[in-house]
This record gives sequence, C-alpha cells and structure tokens, in this order.
Amino acid sequence: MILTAIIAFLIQVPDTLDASVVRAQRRVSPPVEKATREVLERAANLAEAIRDFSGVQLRDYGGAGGLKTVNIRSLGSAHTAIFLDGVPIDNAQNMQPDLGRLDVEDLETVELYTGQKSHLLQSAREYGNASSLHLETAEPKDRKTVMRLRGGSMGTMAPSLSHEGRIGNNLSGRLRLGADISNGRYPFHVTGPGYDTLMQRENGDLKAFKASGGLWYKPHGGNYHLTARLYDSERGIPGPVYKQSPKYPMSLDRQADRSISVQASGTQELSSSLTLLARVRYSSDMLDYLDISELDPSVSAEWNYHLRSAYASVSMGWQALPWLHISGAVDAQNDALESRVDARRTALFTAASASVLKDPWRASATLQYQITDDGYSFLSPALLLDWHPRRDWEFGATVKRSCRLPSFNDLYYTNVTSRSLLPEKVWQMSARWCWDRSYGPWHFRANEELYHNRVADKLIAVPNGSLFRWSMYNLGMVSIWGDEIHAHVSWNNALGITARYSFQWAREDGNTFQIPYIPLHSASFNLFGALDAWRLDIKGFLTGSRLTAASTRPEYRLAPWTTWDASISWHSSRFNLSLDIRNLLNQQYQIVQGYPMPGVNVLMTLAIAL
Amino acid sequence: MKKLSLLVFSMALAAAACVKIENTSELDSFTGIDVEVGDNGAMTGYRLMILNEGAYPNMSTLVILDLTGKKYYADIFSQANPDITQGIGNTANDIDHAGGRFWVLLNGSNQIVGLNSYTFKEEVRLDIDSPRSIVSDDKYAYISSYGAAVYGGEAVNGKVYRMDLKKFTLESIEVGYQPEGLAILEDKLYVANSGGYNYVHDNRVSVIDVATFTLEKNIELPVSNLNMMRIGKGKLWISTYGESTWSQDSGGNWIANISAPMALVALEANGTSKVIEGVHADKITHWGSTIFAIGNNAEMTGGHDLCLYKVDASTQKVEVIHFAGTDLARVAYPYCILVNPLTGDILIADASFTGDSKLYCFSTTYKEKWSVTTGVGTGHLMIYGF
Repeated sequence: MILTAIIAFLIQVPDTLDASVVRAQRRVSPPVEKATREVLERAANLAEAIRDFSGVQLRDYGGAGGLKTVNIRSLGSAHTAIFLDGVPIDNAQNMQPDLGRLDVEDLETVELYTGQKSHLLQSAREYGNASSLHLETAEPKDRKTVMRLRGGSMGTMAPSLSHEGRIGNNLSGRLRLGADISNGRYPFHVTGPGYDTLMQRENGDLKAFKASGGLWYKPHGGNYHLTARLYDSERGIPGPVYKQSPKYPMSLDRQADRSISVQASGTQELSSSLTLLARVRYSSDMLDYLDISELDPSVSAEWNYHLRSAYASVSMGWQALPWLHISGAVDAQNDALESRVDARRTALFTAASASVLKDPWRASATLQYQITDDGYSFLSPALLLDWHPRRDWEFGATVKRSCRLPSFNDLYYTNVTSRSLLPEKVWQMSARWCWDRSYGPWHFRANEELYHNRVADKLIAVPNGSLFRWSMYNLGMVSIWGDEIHAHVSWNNALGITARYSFQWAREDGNTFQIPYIPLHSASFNLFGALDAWRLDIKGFLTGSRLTAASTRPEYRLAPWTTWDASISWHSSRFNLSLDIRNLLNQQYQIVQGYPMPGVNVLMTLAIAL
Repeated sequence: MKKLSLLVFSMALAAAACVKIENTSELDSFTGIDVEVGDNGAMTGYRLMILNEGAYPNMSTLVILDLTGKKYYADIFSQANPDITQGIGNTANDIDHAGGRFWVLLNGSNQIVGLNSYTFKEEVRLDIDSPRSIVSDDKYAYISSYGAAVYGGEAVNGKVYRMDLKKFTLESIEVGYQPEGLAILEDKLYVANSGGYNYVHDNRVSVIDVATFTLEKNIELPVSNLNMMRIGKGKLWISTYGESTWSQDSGGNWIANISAPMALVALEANGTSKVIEGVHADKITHWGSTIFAIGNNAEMTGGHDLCLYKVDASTQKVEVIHFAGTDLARVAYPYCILVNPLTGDILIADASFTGDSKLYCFSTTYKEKWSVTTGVGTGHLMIYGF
C-alpha cells in the first residue's frame, strides 16, 4: 500500500503480521516514547521501565510495595490512561493503577502517547485521554519454558516461571506464575539544619503472587487474543516518615489486594477495505485496608473496597480511499464499587476519526463523546498533523481537548458535603520535530517537542473545618509550558547513549511559583555497551527541586536529586544472568515528601530456559 | 536581666494570664522577613504567634509576627533548635502559655513540647497520645486526647491528661469519644466530646472536678459532634462540627445529607443548655462579653454563605455579618479566628492545606487592615506580651 514504507520505518512491522493486524496498528505519527523488549526484560516493573521517558514524573513512595504512579507533562496521574493490549485497565476508584504491580516480563512494547494515540483503528476509550500508556503483550513463538530467579536487597525474592508455545497452526499460548516477596526494610537518613539521623524503614513488607495466561488465535485475516490475570498481595503500609514519639512505631497499617481480570480482543478483516475490532474485559479488584492504631495495636478499623468493572468495545475501520481512512467506535463501561458507601458509574463512549495519509502529509481528526449515568458528558476533539518532507525529517503538531472525570474517591470518600464536581478539563497543544538518520554503523536520532497545556477546574481536596470532613472542589486554572529534548547516538547496536531533557513551567493562575511536585528541570541519561555475550547499562536521573505545597518557603521545598543505576548482564542460549545496582552513589532522596527512597541496593537475576 | 511580665491572649485562654518571667526577649538572633502590616502602635510590647499545622506529613511550623517591628519570623522552632531531629513535629493542634513556657500539642507526633518563652528552645517533650486541645491553670495544664482511637474503628474513649507544670508528671482519666475543646469554670473542667471517628457522634460534655481530677458527670447536649469551647459571662459556649449522613435514594444513588448544621450552644454550670438560633458555626472565640463565631449559613442547602456571628453572651442577641459584600469575603476557608484584645481587630486565617495560608486582620468595621502570607494549614493564633 501507499504507506508501507513510512509505516515500516515507524514501527518496523514484522513481516509475519497479517494485513489486518498491520491495518489495526497503522498510525499517523509515532509514539513520543517507546520501550522495547530489551529494556523491558531488565525492568522489575512497569514504573521502572518508563521512568526515563520524556515528560514523565514518577511518583514513587519507595520500596517494593510502595505505590508508583506517573504524572505526564504536569497534568496529574489521573490524566494518564493505561491500556493493556488495547483494553483500558485504569481504576474508577483512584484512576491510575499501581504501576509497581504491573509486570513487564511478558510485554513486547510499552508506548507512551501524549496527546492523541495515532493508530488508525482504535476503541473509543483510546480517544479522549490527555496521555496514554499502551502495553502490548509479546506473542508466544516457539515452545519454551523459562524459569527466572530474582533476588537481592531488602529481602527481595521474585521467582517466576513461564511456559509458552504453539498449540496448533493458528493457536499459541502462554502461562506464567510469579511471586514478589520483600521485607521492605532499608536504612535512610533524615536531615535538617543541624541534624543527620539514620533511621530504618519498617512495615514496608510485601508478599505478592501473580498468575497469567493467554491464548492467541490467528485465522486468516484475523487476530484474537484472550488473557486472564490474577494478582494477590498482602503488604505493610509504612506511611510517611515524620516525627513520632519514640514509644510508637510509624505505622502498623496493612493492605491486602486481590485482582482478577479476563479480557479478550479480536481484529477481523471483513473485506479488503473494512476491519472490525472488538474488545471486552471484566475485572474484580478487592482491597482490604486495615488501619491499625500505632498507639494500641488492638484498636483498628477495616476498610473494604470491591470494584467490579465490565467493558466492551466495537470499532470499525474503513479504508475509503487509498489515502483516506475512516473509523468509528462505541464503548461501554460499567464500574461498581462496594464499600461502606457504594458507588456506580456507567459510561458510554463514542468516537469517530478520519485520517488522511498522502505523502508527505499525514493528518487525523478525531472526536470522542462520553456520557455517564451520573451526569457527566464531554466532547473531546483532537487534531494531528505530520509532515514528512524527507526520509530523515519529520514535523508534527497536535491540538486536543480532554477531561478526566472525578474518581469515586473524589466523589464519595473525600466529599461529605453534597456537591456536584465538574470534570477537570485540559487543552493540549504541541509542536514537534524529529530527525532520524543512519550513516553506516552509526545511528542518530534527535527530537524535540514544545507544548502548552491549560487545565481548568482542577480538582482539589480541601478540609471542611475538621479532620473528619474533607471536600473536593473544582479550583483553579493551571498553565503549563514545556519542552522535551531527546538525543540518541548508537554504533552498531553495540554502543549507545541517550540523553533526555525536560523543561516544565507549570503555574496556577495568579501564582508566581511552580505547582507542587513538578520540577522545572529534569533529565535522564542512558549509556549501553554490548560485547559478545556481555552488556552494560548505566542510567542516570536528575530531578530539580520541587515544592511540596504551593509555597515558596524553604520548609516546603524538596531537594533536587540525582541517582545512578548500573546493570551488567551476560547471556548464553540458555542462561541470562544480570546484576543490577541501583542508586550506586547511595543518594538520600525523596520523590514524595515523607517517603524516603532506598539508598544503594542490589538485585541479581538468573533466567534459565529449561 | 530585667523583670518582665508576659501576657498571653489566645484562642484557648478565657482571660489574659499574667506571668512573671526573668529574661529579655531576643528575636534579634532570628532571621525575619519584612512584611507590610501598616501601623500597629497599640501592639508595642506584644507579638502574634501563629501555628501552622502543616499538611500531613509536612512538619508543623511556629511563626512569630512582630507587628511593630514589621517582621515575620518563619519556623522559629527550627531557628531556635536547629539540631533537634525532625523539628517541632507533626500536625500541631493547639498552643498555650502556662508555667512560664509555650506548649505546643503535636497530634501526629503524639507529643507535647514545652518551649522557653524567650529563646524558644525546647525544654520539655512528653508523650501524649493524639493530643487535641489544651487549657491551664496555675499548677496544671489539661490536654484532651483521642487516645488510640482510629477513624471508623471500634469506639474507644478519649482521655484528658493533667500535666504538672513544675514536675512535668502526667496523669489521665477517660472521658467521651474524641474529646476536643476544654474550659475551666468554677473549679470544674469541661470537655467537649465529638465522637468524630464514630458513626454515631458524641453529644456529651464531660465534667471533671479540678481538685480531685475525677470525672464527675457527663452532660448531654441537644446537638452532637462537639468542637470548641469558650467561656463568656459565666456560661460555656460550645460549637459543633455539624452532622452528615449518607443515604441511598430510590434509584440506588448515594446522597450526602447534612442532617444537622453546625451549631452554637450555651451551657450553664447547672447543666441547662440552649442552642443559639440562627448560628451555624464551628470556629469560635470571644472578646469581652461577645462570642465571635464563623461558619456557613447555607450549609444545609449545600450553599456557601460564610458568616461571622457576634453573640452577646449576656443577652444572647445575634448579629450576623455575611462575608459577601465586606472585606471578609477575601477569606475563602476560615480555619481560625482570634479577636485582638488590645484593638478589637478580628484576625482570621484563610487556611490552605495544599499551599500557603493567609492571615487577615480586619477592623471592627470589617475593613481589611493588613494581611500576611503564612504557612500550610494556619490553625491557631495567640497574642502575647513581654
């Protein structure tokens, strides 16, 4: 087809894929960031795999069991939707799931789209997000059984076993079992004007069990995929570190989770120009939180939450003309949360999109409309334009309006007064260029994206007079101006360096200072070298100082931090051995106020193909 | 060294206490920033102390505002005690001056700290479970405590601690659920119980005999979820947080209902109580024979009509001043109020828990005189003389 060259350049479509798959995966512009299998194999979880992406601020509460979420381009974590094989896996209670719980071992790619995901054929939920992370599971190929043993500091033990292979001509499958165990204990320093005290993080232990199974069926012109996942865990909640009477521990709280999900998706080519895409998901997430008084462990309160979600989506793509693609989608989602207060929401999403692909131009206009039975409706338009004047140059621009609805937590658990909350609305505008070129063994890539975001009706929790009564309000407008620069050089896939820099100017209207937790400057560096069976990776992260409250006073400022991680690995046809040293220089830092991060820590991984 | 008298007017104290202390005040050794607060001649020899609770887990901060020197001394505790690990502590819930020291209750840290009146050096630190409010007499300080209760857990009685101001020994007795405000009237200590952690809130005022430190009785009020307590014209004035409940409508949707508004109750020593009509306030203070209260007049209908209520403690006549239409409207979230006993000016903190709060000073005719940016969660004010 007319665009094969461009698409192959962009996504390097493996030639084994069917036409329908290619059609489903075709897109107008590339993702902003992408992690491939090589990176994913080395990451302990999704948070670790994407934390060096441009524009991503990882919010990490520290330790194996500490909550990990991402905030992209200063918009807040609730604006980033997460999709697993195209199916949304976000959570109606608190929006973004814990990225620390998401395994990346069986993923093929993780892609980040800020603004609009640009695939030609997608579900209605895939429109209307300010940014989205797309996790794509690797398709099983040849029969293999892999046992992985991972262990190290903080009593970490993370064994896993996976078996995959073909069952018939068109059918393949994978089964995976894994566990994460950690005592979560690590030393940290608290420092102030005239003190530096060594303390120990306690009650951060984690025991998690994970199981997943998948089936892939690929008849002619179709591609079907069924996955089931289980996550069962019990952990301590260490809470923030602050001054506590030496008589008492910092926290004794416990949390147990059990999540089960089943999802299926299918793409079928109906004719040479029509493709159908359907996706369904059911999930059940149980959370039991035990608030134990640190003053008297016999006194406690138990909070149970049981969230059930059902989701279905149908989309149709029509290649109307060789250069014109039109698609439409309808999704429905129902979320029901059972707790001391029940909450429900049924939402209907519809979307339409038209994409023009005429060399050297690519453009796409999309419109998503969502309506819910609890009184929300929102229209989210987006425009994408890409110009590809030469093979090595590309220019693009995006304009988009999106929103995030108040979560169940916002509506029911913080808000005691009867108050109708508005969705938080975002306008996004961005312009980008990319230069990508190879000279013999050398590969160069440089890109930059300038953006402006405008957030209206920001959702903020405000205490209403007492400890017991917090209310949510729609308050304030935020302006964000940002710049992301990314440069990469590599030689023969044996030596490479990537540097990323991000500038984020984010201010609430009327304020002369940055919004909390957003650094003005942040950067990351990756260096890798490979020789025969050996590979060395060095990663550096630099984050500027941040405010923990909308105040310029020094007592509400978090210090800038830098960390360096190193990883060395060796592989043979059957063995893969790696040693990871994180926070090499034993930097003491906090990403979230009151949550000290671990100092230097070590992780060893041995993978054996049985 | 010269002899000075130290006068304290605070939200917690019913009347100005007079304490003699040797030494001179030395703010010169601290770093202050210049603030625009206009002319405050009447405040010569007096300072304003501001307590910022901080948003969990941010540290609380204690601030001195010198209105005549026009200087703001931020985080005076860390300035005076730079080597004390983790500073003053977390979630400061009340402040008092007793036995020659400033006392700060640290709810999150489960401690009370005693500071030197002039150097602000930490001199005493004691463990008290979840302390909330403090009052004192010549010999003792009384501190209400939630005890080990947790929100939504089983009902656990709160406590009142008695601290000897010389020996720093502690005794405690059990009172109602989640005790809040305290007041001493005619040799009795009164404690307002909220029960805010329970599904059924508490409506009892615990009465403790000061001489024997024993619980004498509980007085039930016609309203529950009791909050602050003040004394005016021989009566106790008690505010409430108001009541809210959740219910499901016919369609299964959950609706929040405010089943009872915030209220103000006058309680006589003989146990008779009266709800003051038309006053919906949770924050109260007093000046002379007037009770000043702040609340939301439209709370029952889900509206936001902030009001200042002035209640004559003798006649119980109520004057309602709507924030809207006056300079008071500059305050979005009034979190604490103090009437300056020297000038009659009304000090109101517009608290923020995500950023800086702002402290406003309004004249007796509700005109803004000055305002200063304070820290996170400005919750308690005190004026002291030296």
